[in-house]
Amino acid sequence: MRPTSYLDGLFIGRDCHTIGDNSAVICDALVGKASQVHLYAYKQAWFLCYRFRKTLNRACIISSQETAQFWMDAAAMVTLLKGSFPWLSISRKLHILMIHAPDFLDAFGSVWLYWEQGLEGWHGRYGQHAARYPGATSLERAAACMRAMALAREAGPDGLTR
Amino acid sequence: MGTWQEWARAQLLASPLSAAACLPAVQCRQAVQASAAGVATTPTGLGDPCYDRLKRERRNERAAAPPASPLTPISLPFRQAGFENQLAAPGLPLPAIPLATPGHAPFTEAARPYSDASAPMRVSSGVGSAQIRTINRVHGGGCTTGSSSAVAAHMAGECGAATTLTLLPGHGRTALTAPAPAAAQQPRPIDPDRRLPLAPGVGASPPPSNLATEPPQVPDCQQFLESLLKGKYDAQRDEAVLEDIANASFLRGDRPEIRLRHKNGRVRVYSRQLSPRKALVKVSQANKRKAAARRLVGDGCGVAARLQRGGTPPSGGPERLSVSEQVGLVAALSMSRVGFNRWRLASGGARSGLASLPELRAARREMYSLPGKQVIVTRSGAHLASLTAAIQERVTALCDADLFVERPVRDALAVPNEAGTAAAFVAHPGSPPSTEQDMQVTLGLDKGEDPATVKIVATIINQPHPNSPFNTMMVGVCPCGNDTDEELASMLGTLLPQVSALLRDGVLVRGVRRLVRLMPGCDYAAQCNVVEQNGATATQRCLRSQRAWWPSKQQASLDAIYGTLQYVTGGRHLPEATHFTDRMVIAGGTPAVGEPGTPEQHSSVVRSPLLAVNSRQIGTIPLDTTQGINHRFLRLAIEMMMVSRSATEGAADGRQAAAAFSLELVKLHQEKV
Repeated sequence: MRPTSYLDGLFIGRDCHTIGDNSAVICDALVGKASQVHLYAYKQAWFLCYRFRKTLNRACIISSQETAQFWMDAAAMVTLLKGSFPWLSISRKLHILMIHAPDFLDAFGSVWLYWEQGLEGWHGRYGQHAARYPGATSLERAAACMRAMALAREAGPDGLTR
Repeated sequence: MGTWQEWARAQLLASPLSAAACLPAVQCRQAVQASAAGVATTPTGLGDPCYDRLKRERRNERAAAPPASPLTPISLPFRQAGFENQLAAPGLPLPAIPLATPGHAPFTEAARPYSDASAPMRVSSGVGSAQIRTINRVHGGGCTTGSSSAVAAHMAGECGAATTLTLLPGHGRTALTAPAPAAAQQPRPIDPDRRLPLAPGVGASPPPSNLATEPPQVPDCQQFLESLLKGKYDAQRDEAVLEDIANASFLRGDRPEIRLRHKNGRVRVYSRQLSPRKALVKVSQANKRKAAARRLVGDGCGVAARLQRGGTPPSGGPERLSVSEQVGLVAALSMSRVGFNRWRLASGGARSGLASLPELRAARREMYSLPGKQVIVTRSGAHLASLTAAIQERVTALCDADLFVERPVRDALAVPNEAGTAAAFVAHPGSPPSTEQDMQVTLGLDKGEDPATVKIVATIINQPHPNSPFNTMMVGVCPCGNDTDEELASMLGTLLPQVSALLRDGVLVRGVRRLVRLMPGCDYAAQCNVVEQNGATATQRCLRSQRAWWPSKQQASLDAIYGTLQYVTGGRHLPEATHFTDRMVIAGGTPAVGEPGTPEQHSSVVRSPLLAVNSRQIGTIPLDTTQGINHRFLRLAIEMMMVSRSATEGAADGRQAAAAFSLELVKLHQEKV
């Protein structure tokens, strides 16, 4: 047995939008295999998701009207899902979407500008350079990496992006 | 044939039979060959319907035309060598013989330029005559056999010269005479296009003399154009020729479509289509094509174009890096000291401007003494000694470089509640009033890589490109096997006092102290691990109580009791969200509900928060959120199908059908990627 990535590793990162872009294919595949009530609610949920997905993933300051629409769409989608599919549990992503994202968007005007892509980037950078740092244990290598990164800040705000 | 001619000649003079008997008889080569082979054939070239039609037309023209001036028949003035003693056939009325113009003496055999086109053809001069005359086919003058009008002109010029030794002058064609006896022994070449005219003087008046002597008038382009504009050409009759002329004119340009009409009436249309030779090319060819496109288009790419636009290159000139910057660059690039020294020596040593190794060591020791650069190592991991000092260094550098960016906050954080009054916010640390200028810092931690390590990263939002990894700040690295609550508490045990100090002291921005607005980010914050539990209304109770993706009645009942659905039934701004935060700050904890280890106990546990901040400032990762929701939709599709099938065919069949449908979904999406 070997661990297998979900959907063969597809739809990771920006490719995750492919699923939403092709939601009609999923709905068409469900015709005749699911009840009409479920299928209708499923299509409606996809439609609402499509609307707020564009707002969520846009790197600009969102207007107040669009923010209000985002909140209504997210709440309507979660309500629809929870009301139409009793077995559905509120996952943490849905919780983020319904509780935190609208408030954050309302206060700061954007979600994309505040997300922490740098943190994700540090995973790869650390895995690439950790072997170069001296240390017998992972803790020692982590300490060496921390010292090096502390010094790296002296390169200047635009020294490494020049 | 000879018998019939003798019989017909004995008939009444000027009768059709005698006239027909006077016609010259021609035997084709095929006939001769066929007769030699003993096969009875019919000579070709006789009875051609086209020729008959043209002959009738000429006859009608002659009848309608005024009588021509009488011509005195003369004997054939054979002047060429070998023909002096040959006379016309007696008893056969000879036509007026148009002589060749003096300036166009007949070519000899050796001087014949077009041997095939001017091949001599022998025609018998009369019945019973042994004399054989040689004529040449007439070409040139713009006459072509493919055109009806050209054929008519050709035949008109040929009318009076069929039995002569005359050649139309002026077009490089000439007559060739050959000794008749020698030619008589040769097989007769028969031109299939050749028309055999009637003998002149038989049943028709002699043709005008100028038909054979004068070259056909070829109009020049201006005349042709004028005639065409005047409508002298019949559009219907000359349509084919006019279309050929138009095609010949238009073919020189770039036309998307070329229309050609063949002689047989078939029309072919050639269209110009541009298609790449290779749709997919490799990198090298792609680069060449891009370079060619840039040259052709001149799209303004490249250094020269950028300079023309007034932009500045990334590095306008040699910049001198300070020693501390060189230390930082070496550390950021993970460059070894030996490698740096070799690079320095290769660049000219001290003249390169790079610091020597002793200078680097001294600068590094000095930098390590700074509070923002110090690192402490605990049992949980390596952490910065002072988060406040590190952020202050960075902010100072941004201000010095004039890269500090103000990020105003909307008043949405102070919106009125459902009662219409201003919300009574508790003064949370890290949540200054929106009316004050603040310093926005996100703090997130995430586990990744193999072996797993938890990275704690702080980001200063008040700068351009805050999400660039080089603009972020690594606060701690903690090797972590299982992300349990105890390990998480150990990691944050070193960090949280520093965060509290940062929120308390603030940061100096251009000499003015500002409060820090802290935004917990990433999944850990969203799971309420930093602000700890959300009370009984929390969705994610703790790390141990991960939700089972499989549908569960027990889980559904817990959701019905503690789920977040109650939020969407309330007002616009979720009063519970601020309420629980206030409550967490005040209250220390609530006794758990249910037996230990049960889902009820996990779902209802309430503990005091490790770090209490305004929950409305919890940042989210949009891409991860989108990805998680999309995947949840996929699972929901499978669950729908399984529920529907299980209701009708049983649970086992439902699971099998769901497994097959999941594979179908994977296949569908792989086709779309």
